[in-house]
Amino acid sequence: VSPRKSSRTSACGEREARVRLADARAQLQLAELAGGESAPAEIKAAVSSAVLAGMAASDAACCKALGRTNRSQNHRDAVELLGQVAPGGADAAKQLERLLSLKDESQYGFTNLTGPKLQQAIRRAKALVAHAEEVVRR
Amino acid sequence: MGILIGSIMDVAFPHSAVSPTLEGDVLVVLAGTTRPLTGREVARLARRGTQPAVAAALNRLVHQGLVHREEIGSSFLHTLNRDHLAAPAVLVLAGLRTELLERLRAAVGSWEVQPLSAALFGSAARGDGDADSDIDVLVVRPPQVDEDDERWRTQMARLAEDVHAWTGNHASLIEVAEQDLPDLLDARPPVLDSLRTDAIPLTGVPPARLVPDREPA
Repeated sequence: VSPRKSSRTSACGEREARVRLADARAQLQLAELAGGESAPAEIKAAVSSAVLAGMAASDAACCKALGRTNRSQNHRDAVELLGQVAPGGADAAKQLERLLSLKDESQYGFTNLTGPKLQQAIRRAKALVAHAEEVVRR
Repeated sequence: MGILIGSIMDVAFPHSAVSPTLEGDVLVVLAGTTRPLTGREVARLARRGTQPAVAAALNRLVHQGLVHREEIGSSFLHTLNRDHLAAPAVLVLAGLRTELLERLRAAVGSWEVQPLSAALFGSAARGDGDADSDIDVLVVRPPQVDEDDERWRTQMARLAEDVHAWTGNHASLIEVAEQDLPDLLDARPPVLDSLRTDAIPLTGVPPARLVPDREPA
């Protein structure tokens, strides 16, 4: 057992986990509305929704399993916290890390995102939502 | 730990069938994370038992070597000792609800006559019932399958028997024909809310899409 780092977290539990899981599902549905024919701005908005879905799913899993969720702006802290959920946290954390790498690009970026990037983001968000569903119903 | 043959599954705390004391709840919490937790955090996540009772349970588990405790500053932090001989049994107990879902999915997935939709709902899906709760399963019959179709009836009866054998609980199978779904929406029975918000899809169309929440025209 190593000492815990002082990353910013806040206490939460089963009720918050269910709320964030519902948020994650809703964001994922929004992300899936965009298709191959969508305008670049729509694809970007959809990627942003996929990222938000992944973040909400991560909160849900952490609230249920750890009783805490990340409140730091540092993505690495969120990834590390999700990695502590068992089982499945390590794989979910990898998905979240890759999804978060699209956050700035989709929300503040000046360049367009491609359809394949959106499909990849949706796949990662789906994996995170599935993991959170499993943790929350455990 | 002894297995209580014929015991009923508490749908909120499925591991209680094997480990009915607070130690079981504590172990299931610790199995859910590799993060070291304080006694207070364990008590909060366990959802039942007072903090002193959880602390006493942790003491017993530390004594038996199944839980590691380390003093960090002024706190005592606890983790499941995953190298302990009993740790695999704890992990199985922590995954009983997932195991029930997997068995339900496998059972329905093997049906000769596939339903349009099947889903677990109610307290077993929410995880907030008790040992007297039914295991509620919605099964939507496709329009081309007659209500009295022998293959359909046989697979429904077998599912009810299997669920009872797996859990000790009564399986409440709610069967709806696809053509009767509009009536269900019009009648708006209380079960609709659970289907929309809590249902866990087993196969086919998810219930939230079959019974959307919209005002009748």
